[in-house]
Amino acid sequence: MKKINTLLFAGLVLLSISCNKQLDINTDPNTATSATPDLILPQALTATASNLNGFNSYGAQLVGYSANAGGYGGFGTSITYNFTSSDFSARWSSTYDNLQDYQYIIDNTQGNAQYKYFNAVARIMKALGFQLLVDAYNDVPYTEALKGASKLTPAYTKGDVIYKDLAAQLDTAITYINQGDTTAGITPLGAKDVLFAGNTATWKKLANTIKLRLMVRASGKVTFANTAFSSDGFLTTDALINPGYTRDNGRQNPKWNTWAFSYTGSDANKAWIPSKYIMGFYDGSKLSDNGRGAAIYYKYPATGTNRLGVESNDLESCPSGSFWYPSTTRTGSSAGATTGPLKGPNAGFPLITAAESYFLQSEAALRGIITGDAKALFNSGIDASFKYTYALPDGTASGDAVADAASYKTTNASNFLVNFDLATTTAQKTEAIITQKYIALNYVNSDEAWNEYRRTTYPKNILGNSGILSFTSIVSESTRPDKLPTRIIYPSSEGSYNSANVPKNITPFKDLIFWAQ
Amino acid sequence: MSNGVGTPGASESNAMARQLGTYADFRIGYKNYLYLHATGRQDKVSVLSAANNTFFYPSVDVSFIASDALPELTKNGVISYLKLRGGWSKVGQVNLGGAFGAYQLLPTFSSGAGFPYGSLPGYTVGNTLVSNDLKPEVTKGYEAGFDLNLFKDKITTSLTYFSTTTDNQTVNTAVSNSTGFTGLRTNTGQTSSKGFELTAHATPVNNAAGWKVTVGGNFTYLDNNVNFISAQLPRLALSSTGSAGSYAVAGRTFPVIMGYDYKRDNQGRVIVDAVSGLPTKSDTISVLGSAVPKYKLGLDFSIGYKNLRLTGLVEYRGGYESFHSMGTEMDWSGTGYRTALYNRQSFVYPNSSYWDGTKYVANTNVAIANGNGNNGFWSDGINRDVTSNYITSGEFWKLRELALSYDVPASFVAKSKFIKGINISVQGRNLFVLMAKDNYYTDPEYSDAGSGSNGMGLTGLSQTPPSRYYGATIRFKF
Repeated sequence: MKKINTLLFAGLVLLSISCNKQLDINTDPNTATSATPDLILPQALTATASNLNGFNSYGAQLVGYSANAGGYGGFGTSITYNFTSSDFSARWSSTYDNLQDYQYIIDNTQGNAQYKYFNAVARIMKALGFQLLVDAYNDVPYTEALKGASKLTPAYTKGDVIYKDLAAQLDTAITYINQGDTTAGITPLGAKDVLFAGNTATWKKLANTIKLRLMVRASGKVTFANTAFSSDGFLTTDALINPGYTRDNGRQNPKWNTWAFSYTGSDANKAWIPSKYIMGFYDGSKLSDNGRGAAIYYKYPATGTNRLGVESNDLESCPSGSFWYPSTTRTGSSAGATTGPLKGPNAGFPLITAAESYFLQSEAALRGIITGDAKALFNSGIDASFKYTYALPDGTASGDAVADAASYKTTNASNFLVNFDLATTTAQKTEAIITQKYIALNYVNSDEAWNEYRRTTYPKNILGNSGILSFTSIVSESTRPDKLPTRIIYPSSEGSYNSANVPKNITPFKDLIFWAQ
Repeated sequence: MSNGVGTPGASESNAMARQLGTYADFRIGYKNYLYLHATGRQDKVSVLSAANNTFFYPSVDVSFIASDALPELTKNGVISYLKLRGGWSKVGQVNLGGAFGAYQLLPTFSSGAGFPYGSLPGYTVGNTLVSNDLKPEVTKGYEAGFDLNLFKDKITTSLTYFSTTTDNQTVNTAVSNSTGFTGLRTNTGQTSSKGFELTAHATPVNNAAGWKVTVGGNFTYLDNNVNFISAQLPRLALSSTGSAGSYAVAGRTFPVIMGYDYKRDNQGRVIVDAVSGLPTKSDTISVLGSAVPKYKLGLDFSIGYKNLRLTGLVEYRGGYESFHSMGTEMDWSGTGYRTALYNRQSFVYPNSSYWDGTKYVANTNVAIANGNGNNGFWSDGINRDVTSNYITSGEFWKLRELALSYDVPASFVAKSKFIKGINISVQGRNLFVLMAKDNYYTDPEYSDAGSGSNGMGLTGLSQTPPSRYYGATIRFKF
């Protein structure tokens, strides 16, 4: 009785080798799986410069430094202002990406006495990064942010609460630097510090200047815990990030790379030209400033201009190298070594200029936030702006900035926007300070000018047919009196990946940053 | 080399992974009508941590040929063959992405943009959150069914019911930038899939005159579901294109298409501004459709007359949606069908309402001023960034294949000493597709995320469009 007539055994294989050694091969030969603060810091500072370049482009089109150029169309929300969550979303992602590097330095140096400087520097830069975010978005993730897998959907913190804590963080950073100065065997910042080359005294000035910017902007709306400043003072020199920018693949000054020429010498962005509004501050329409006008603009005073939103076939188009590159040497592969905001592929990238520091101090003195001579600081601001504008990439001057600044003050002596003595009311004084800051920030840190416009409504933007008097787009869809937007919208990624927390019903024409009016 | 400008980039990447398997297979049959088959396999892999790198998975299936075991079933001439089958299986696999899945467990640091500047190095923290505790994916499932042939095999049918659940599917999901990262590599939780497959074929004509006609078809019903998600996230993003994303959402079909819509009142009307007539994009994403066809129907036929044979295959898929990212670019350039819906004039947004101060009232007169297509509504984000504007039904009927072939008569071939047979055929594939009325974009049957991804339902811009194929073949048999 053979009931089972088929019996098949197939492929019974037994392996009895020492598996563990065979399998212990998952060590990555390609990418680093650990790093040190020394390796992260130079990259983080350089990435901040790239991020600020994006903020400069954002501010420049919103606050009237630039207008759409001929030969291009499809400007979309750039001229209608009806922003949605996909506009400027890189401002959000790049800033948080950069902040994560600073957070890594803070987390990995906290409590390590030898790395006090690194910790302090990362705190200062983190404060700067979060101010950028609050000024663009108001409430953003802060206390629950940058915690990786332990907080995958970070809650939002109010903008004014963040401001208050940032000022405290800056005080802590100064304390850490002072502690570091007396710590034996402290690890110096040295060449890793591509901003101040390891000069911790200047870092403290930067910390004070950022704190001053927070307080000038939010004073009256935020009760800062400590309204005093350390005795280190404020920036008197331009804070320039330069890891060794050069005409090479991916190694150019980011602003030069965006607007002038690529490293191969091919044209960069040619969709934008200067606005009629900003040109009015140079060519005599509003103020007369041939010195800086010629130092900034190509073909000045015949520079091509437009008003935002004007689209027609006979618009001036953008030349190779753009109007912001003033030199007549227009060969892309050798261009550079010039003045203005772009200067050259090897120029340092401005984090905060001395001019901005002086104008902040001037307004702070005017409002009693610090003690000082508002007029003297105002004039120092103008001088510093001429100095920065006339500087070549290597820091040397082209032309006589001191003499030209003096002649600027004489030529416009009858205008309170230049002659501080003629500004009699606080409103006029503020207008003079902010207008001069607007001129000083032209394509330098354009986003700061946009912030200050929204806070103070200066420089004056008089709606009407004149592009010299108004920078508002003529096809604006804004429902506000000045027909401008109030802010940009949270990026789509937040509505997708953090939808429970992202603030709802935010519109570009109604919702204000907490310090705005 | 001397013509190059700038420092050339160079990179090298090596990866090594090992997998050791132990496998056993067992078959037993009884009287040629009852069979049992079992397998067992243990894998050890190098790409997971030592605590998770070993996993065992067995399977077992039985089949019973009832028509052989019980000959009386076939006696009345109706049933010619009946087989009952069933099985249970567990399958484990590791799916980590990257080269062989190697080196995916630890965070990475990469050289920053532009670095090194001279001798100055600079590194950045990688953007993916990883876990050293990833586990293998395990799918458990059972299926049962039968094969039934009737009337001397003139009609053949089969029916299979299946149900599987998958645990710990490994995905790279997107997270908020404010975490400091953009991605999270994690085990998802649990998905399940059940449904049935039915096939039937009949040969109504097969006669001495040389005619042979076969018609048939298959029908599949599929119900995918996400049972739960284990990460501390409400949903997992699997892939994205434009403003749309493919997501796993607990309690929904797997995967679903999510994206932005307009803000709507409680009647579903689009809320517009009482002055400008412009709608507003929603703050958060919502589920806009299911990405997987719930129903698939294939119909095939073969008509033969002597040496000539015509075959064809028609397919229908339905019960799902598709996102078309090309629509946003067409609207931007002004070539989109939608941009001309109102003759490029000012228009009142259809089925809209506005807030009159106390309630939402139907909007019949507040028009969007700028509908010219050059700037304003159509080219702005308020049209182009709203995902729901580019979601269509994914339904289609498609003539997938049609072929005509001819066997050259043996008598003709026989004249040659070495050729044993010649067959000439012409065939066409993807000959026409009939799409849903609202789909004026493209064949929904292709995906941006690639065949290896769980992300489905999104067509991208950088893909090769589906192609139509015509061909002719001559085959010689020697």
